[in-house]
Amino acid sequence: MAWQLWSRSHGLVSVARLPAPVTTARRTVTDIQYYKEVDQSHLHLVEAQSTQRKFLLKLRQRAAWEEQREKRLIDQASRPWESEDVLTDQPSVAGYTPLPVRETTVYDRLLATARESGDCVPQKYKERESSTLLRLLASNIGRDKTAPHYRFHDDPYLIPYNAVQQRDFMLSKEGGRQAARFVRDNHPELFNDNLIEHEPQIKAFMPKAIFQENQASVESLKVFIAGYNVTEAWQTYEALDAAGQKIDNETLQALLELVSYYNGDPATVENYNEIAGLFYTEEITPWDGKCKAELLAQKMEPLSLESKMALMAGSAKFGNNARCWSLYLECATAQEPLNVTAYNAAILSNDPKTLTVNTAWANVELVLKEMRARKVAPDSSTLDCLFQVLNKFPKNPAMRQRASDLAFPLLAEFKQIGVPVWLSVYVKLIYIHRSREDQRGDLVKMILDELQGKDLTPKPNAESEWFFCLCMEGAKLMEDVALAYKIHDILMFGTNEIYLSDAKRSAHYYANFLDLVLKKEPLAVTMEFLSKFVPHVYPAKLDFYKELVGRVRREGALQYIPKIWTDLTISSFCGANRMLKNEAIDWFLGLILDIDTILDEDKGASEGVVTIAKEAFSEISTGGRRGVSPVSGNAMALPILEKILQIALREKNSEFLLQVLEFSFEWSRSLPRPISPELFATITDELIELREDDLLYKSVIYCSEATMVNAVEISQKICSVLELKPQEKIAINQLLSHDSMWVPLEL
Amino acid sequence: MFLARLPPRGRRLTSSPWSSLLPSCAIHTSSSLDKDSAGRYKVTVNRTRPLTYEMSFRPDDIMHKKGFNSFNTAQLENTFLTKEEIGQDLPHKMFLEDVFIRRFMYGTWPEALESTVLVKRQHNLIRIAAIINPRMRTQFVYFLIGYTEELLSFWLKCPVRVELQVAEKEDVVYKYI
Repeated sequence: MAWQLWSRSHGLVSVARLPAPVTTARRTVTDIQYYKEVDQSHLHLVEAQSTQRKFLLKLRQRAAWEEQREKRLIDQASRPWESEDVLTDQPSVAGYTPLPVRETTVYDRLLATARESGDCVPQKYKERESSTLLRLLASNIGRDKTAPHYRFHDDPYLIPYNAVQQRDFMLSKEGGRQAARFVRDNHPELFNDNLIEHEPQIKAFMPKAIFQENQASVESLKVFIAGYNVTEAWQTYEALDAAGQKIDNETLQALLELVSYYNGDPATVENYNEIAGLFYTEEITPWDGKCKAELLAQKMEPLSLESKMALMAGSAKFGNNARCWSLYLECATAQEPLNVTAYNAAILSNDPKTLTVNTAWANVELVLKEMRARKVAPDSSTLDCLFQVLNKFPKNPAMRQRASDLAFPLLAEFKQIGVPVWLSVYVKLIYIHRSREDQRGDLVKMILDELQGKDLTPKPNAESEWFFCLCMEGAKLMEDVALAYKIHDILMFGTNEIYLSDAKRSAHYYANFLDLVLKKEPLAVTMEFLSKFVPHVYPAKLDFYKELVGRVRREGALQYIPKIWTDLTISSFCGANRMLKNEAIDWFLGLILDIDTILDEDKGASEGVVTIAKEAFSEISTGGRRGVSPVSGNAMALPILEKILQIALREKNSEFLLQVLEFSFEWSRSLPRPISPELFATITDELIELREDDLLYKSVIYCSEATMVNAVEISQKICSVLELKPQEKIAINQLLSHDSMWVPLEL
Repeated sequence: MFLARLPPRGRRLTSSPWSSLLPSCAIHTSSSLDKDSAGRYKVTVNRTRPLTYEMSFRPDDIMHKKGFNSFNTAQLENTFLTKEEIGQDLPHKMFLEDVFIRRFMYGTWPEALESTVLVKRQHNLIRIAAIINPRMRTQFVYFLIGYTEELLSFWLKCPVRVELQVAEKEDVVYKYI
């Protein structure tokens, strides 16, 4: 008001600052407070509606338009069609009047012509699933095996090159995510008042609902159940129960199903696939009388059929077989109609380890007969449960034979009725025949013939992931490389590779595959697979490289040495500790020394070998703290240094030889023993040729202090060519005076 | 006409009893301050100010010598002028979100970012790209990647991906001025 008075008195009129007329509609939705005022200005439409409202209006308008269009078409169809250009090849079905199609477009005319001439036949409409397009895209896009997995960054600094780094990086990323979730869960006000809209609301991007005792209500309980918040749902239920508030049966049933499914534990995190196999999975909570589901069931007495079925499924899943079977008998006695999940649970509850085999299988047959009597169709899970029981038969040959005799007819029968077989069933079939090496190979081949050319996705259960690992393990045991290739082909077909999404199983599979290829295939083939899989698909282990180096040594395949060395250094020797790393350097340098076929003319090979030796020297000579020897406590340091010296001598790289020798003299007190006398004699000969006077004098001191067996001989040789100062002669005489062979130097 | 009624320059209205309640209003008569200064950097005497490639070109060189720092391909085709009607994000919303993303990045990655932060919107995904220096341990970089992606996802209500490249500080310098 004051502003208006002042404005009028000064003759100022500002449209933007005047209050909005009452008749003008205000925008109800805008995310920025500041713009709420600006929206009333000339910058924005007067009487504008919210974006959501406009969108809904548009949808409503479109729906009305569609309805009118359909009505118009039906009206037209009900009238006799007068035009001649009508395609009337639609089949007439009783009660259905086909809609006439007017030939209006070029396409329609072309189609009609093609039909008449018989050039092409238009395809029939195909029913497609919602994921068909995604599957099609996935089938055309393969994984680039030379790049890191999508969960890592494709940057040299951020790429993991060994299994330890893979685990470290992934756990670090997961730690960051958990920190962010902690912020979200403990400070929901930062996210609740966020004005960025999302429609529809996505639970994953919303703050986690927190249990508050003073706000516990049936509605909040329903929200927690719908969001699979097991802990919060249970806390709310307890609070309501303590307050004596009545909860409807439907909500209680939903809560019972939730706690039965998870046995009261929190639900799995959303991005579990990324970290699968990197954590040690915690042990499952046992199902006993004090578990949450049983406590809730006590409150819900008398139990409904749905409640009993939920309890059966939960108790069978978490290993309380007795409880599950008693519930089943109770239902069977009362002639209550169970569903297939409950029957599957009943089958699973018959453990031959706790019951006798005959009792367990008799019970299973009883359940199957009842299923048939009640006309409950079995599913893939039923077959899986049956095989789970068979797999629990004792491991003696007679029982395994019995399990095998029962397994094949079951499999055939289920196939006959068209039940899809999960890979977990084949896993158990392989387990049943695991001890019978004679049958195992044929069995795996038979299964693979069945699976060839099939896309086995989606993955039905976690146990199916073991299928390819087990097959490859069998192929390795039988040393059948053709079988291994067949397994690998099936794995690579379509999107079947998801069966190795777990890091642990992937490592298991590729370790066996590469081991087999290394054993049975030419070295070139192994190196090709190595380039393809290592390090991004499978970070090879040090043992594999040891085997590989052994084979390179046997075959004298010099050309692969640089590649193997590069792989080893880039992967920090497969993430091995200092001791194993030094061992690896030692056996690798041993390989270079063993292969003495390096020709003098082949300068490139010689330079390559020296480069490897330099890198090996760098590995052991760096890393020590200031004033502390880098070779302190390193038992492998001296063997490595000796091998490096030998390589430097062989390749006649005097500069490098002197560098290594100076390092050996400098840290001689940290080394467990001196350089071997024979090698040292050769080195001194080289030094004499090079006329390195300073190092020659140091060599005399070194060999005499180390009391080498040939110290006198070496010293005499050096002193004969070296021009020594009087003080140096006195020092040498003092050091070697104890040896009777030593002839003192004349001063 | 009404200029004559205005008080002299620099003096507050004191004649009216409402003066303490009224907002001060005066016409600026100082020299204009409309000089373009955004995206322009002062030249130092000894030419020691490092500039990245992006910094070394002025804003009017965008699409000639350098690209945009924000890309939005999240809208439907031919709907730019009808965004509000069909419920899509308005340009000013996205601008402020981008400002927020950049501030968050500079705060979360202190002394690590060596380039401007690029924000790319594709479908419902926001990709944030930047160059960082290798001073941080790799594990810590991954921790911050996970933290940034998750927290920004909660705020922006859509999946966020951080795409980093690592380079030394000297490697991103295009020239010194």
